[in-house]
Amino acid sequence: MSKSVFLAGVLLSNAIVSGQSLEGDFRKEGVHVRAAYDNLTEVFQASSAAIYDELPNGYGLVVSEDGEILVKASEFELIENPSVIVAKKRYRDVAVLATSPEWDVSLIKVEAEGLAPIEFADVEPEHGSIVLSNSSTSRFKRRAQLGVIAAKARAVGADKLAVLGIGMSGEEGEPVVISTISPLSGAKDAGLESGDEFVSIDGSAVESREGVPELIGDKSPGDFISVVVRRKILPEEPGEPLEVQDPFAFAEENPPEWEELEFEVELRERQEVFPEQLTRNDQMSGEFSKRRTNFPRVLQHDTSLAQRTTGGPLLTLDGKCVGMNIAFASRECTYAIPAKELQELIAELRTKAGL
Amino acid sequence: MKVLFLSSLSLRFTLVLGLGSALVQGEFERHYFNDLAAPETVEDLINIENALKSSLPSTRAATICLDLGEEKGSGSGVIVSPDGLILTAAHVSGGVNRTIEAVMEDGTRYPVRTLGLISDTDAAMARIEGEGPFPYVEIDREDSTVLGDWVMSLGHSGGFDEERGVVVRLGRLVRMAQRTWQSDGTLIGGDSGGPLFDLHGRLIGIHSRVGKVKGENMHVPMSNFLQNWEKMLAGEFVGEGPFAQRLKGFLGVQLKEDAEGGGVSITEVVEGQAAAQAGLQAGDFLLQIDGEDIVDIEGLKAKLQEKTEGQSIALTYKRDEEEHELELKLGGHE
Repeated sequence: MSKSVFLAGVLLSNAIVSGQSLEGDFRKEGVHVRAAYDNLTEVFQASSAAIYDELPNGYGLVVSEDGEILVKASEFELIENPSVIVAKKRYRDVAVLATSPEWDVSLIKVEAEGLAPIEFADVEPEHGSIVLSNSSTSRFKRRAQLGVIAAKARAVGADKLAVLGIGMSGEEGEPVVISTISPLSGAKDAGLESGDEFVSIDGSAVESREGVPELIGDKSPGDFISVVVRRKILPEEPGEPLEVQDPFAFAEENPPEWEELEFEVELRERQEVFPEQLTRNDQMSGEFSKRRTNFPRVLQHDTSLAQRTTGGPLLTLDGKCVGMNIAFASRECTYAIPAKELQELIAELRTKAGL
Repeated sequence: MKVLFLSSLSLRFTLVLGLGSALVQGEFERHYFNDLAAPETVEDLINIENALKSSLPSTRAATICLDLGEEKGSGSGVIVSPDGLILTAAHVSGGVNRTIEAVMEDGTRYPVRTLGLISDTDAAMARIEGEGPFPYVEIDREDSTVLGDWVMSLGHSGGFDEERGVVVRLGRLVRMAQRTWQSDGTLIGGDSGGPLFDLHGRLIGIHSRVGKVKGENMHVPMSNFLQNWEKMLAGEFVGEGPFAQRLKGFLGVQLKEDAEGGGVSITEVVEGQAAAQAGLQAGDFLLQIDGEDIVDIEGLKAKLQEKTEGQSIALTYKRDEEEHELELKLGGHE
């Protein structure tokens, strides 16, 4: 202790000189500050999983002794040959048991025994509480970085997550017409076209534009819905121009016909179908998570993660887990699923997996 | 642990007796953790956490979003007096004597009039036009913060969000130059003009800009505000940029020339602008500007073009056959 105080004295006496700078090692993310909570990195060592592609690619949360791990679904599914390191052991057989698109979380399983599942906190951390997250990692050593709960816990993203990927027109009382289709949408791939008029979704009549998201209801990305539309059959071009006196005669004799078509359309995630326009704040945020909005409730903290350091546990200074880092949203903002919802989610995913 | 926390927060009062009046000066004891090169144990971190948490409610309440309208977006600011004096960044207030809007954490909105600014350091002042008392914070007038101190940044990052509230970030003061301080609590667009506090909740700086690296977050120290306090309060535009540009002087009136060459009179005053604020009315005849006769509208305009926002002019005018004189401070026109 006396050594540090002395060091501080040296530092501080120079501080008033114009342009003085604090050495990197003493800054918030510096090695000397990390040393203060070094004991807590053992929790990350034992109860967070390092997910590997060829390189480290995110983290997971160990939730059972026999190898159940929570990971960020949208990042995990992109990995071709995932392997997982818990403590110092690498596991190459990884099975996905169940996924929640709503929370962007998958429950995966490795063959293991005697792991140390994370311990959840009973109390949610207040605004201003110090929290720790996985930082960079070497193969055998987890590091942690420090931040604070930065704002109120809340839902982020008010829109429905699962979308057809279309724009619609049609005033009240008129048919609802597809006006635009995102090239990245399930609607496009299924064969819907702009100009198609909605008839029904999953057997229920479409009566207004607002009715479409209502009929999609609580469906998740990846689900399919049945869409019936009316489409104009364009008359074939007449072959030889006959001796047409009346230029409108052809149209009159060949009124447009309509056909009813049914499509099975895959719902996809909003941000996948409608890529976001980058704002200035996004441009200064580096590699943020692709899926970073539409979560039912999150804790917000100021720890600077990266796309590749999400998925791990969020700890308070007592070593208890208060959440799971689910998105690095922007340079000053990371979202975590609160422990309460996370524990409910684990139960839900286990049920889904038939456990 | 608890004892340390309590002692570090305890107030030390110094009683200063003046002539015929007693003045109580509150002084905080330095947090012990600021004198450590780095926190050494989890307990040190808990003490940092506790200091931050206990400063949060009052500092959050005084941290406002400054809404500049749809095109320009928003910044942040902080209230420093019960009657609604605001400190912010010059690149947020944008100029002198303009109308913007303050949004409190609960969503209540008030009109705000911008006062003076220091365009070369990014300091600015403004005032809420509304009935106080408003929640406010104390300024650290003693300049007692030193390099390495733990600090907290508040602001309406990315704009106002009632569900989210004010956003806090923790960091250390990592660089200090005379007119710019740097901390490693990460800021983003929308935080500009927001407050930097020590962990007693005293205002020590105003957010100005960020570097490419997350650890580079720049603030204007309070000393720069205090040195220029009277000028800013008087609505002066100080310096030549780069954080704000002077606009051409703007009076805010519609004029007509009397057909018989009888002078220039006001047909309409624009609400909230310089002329209206000075009390000029439709029907007033403008006779002289800075002692020179006003012959026609062109002449008056040329005279105004030489002026920039925040500068004062002397006007002689005639109302109800009586001549009056007044001094008014010009607004700016974009």
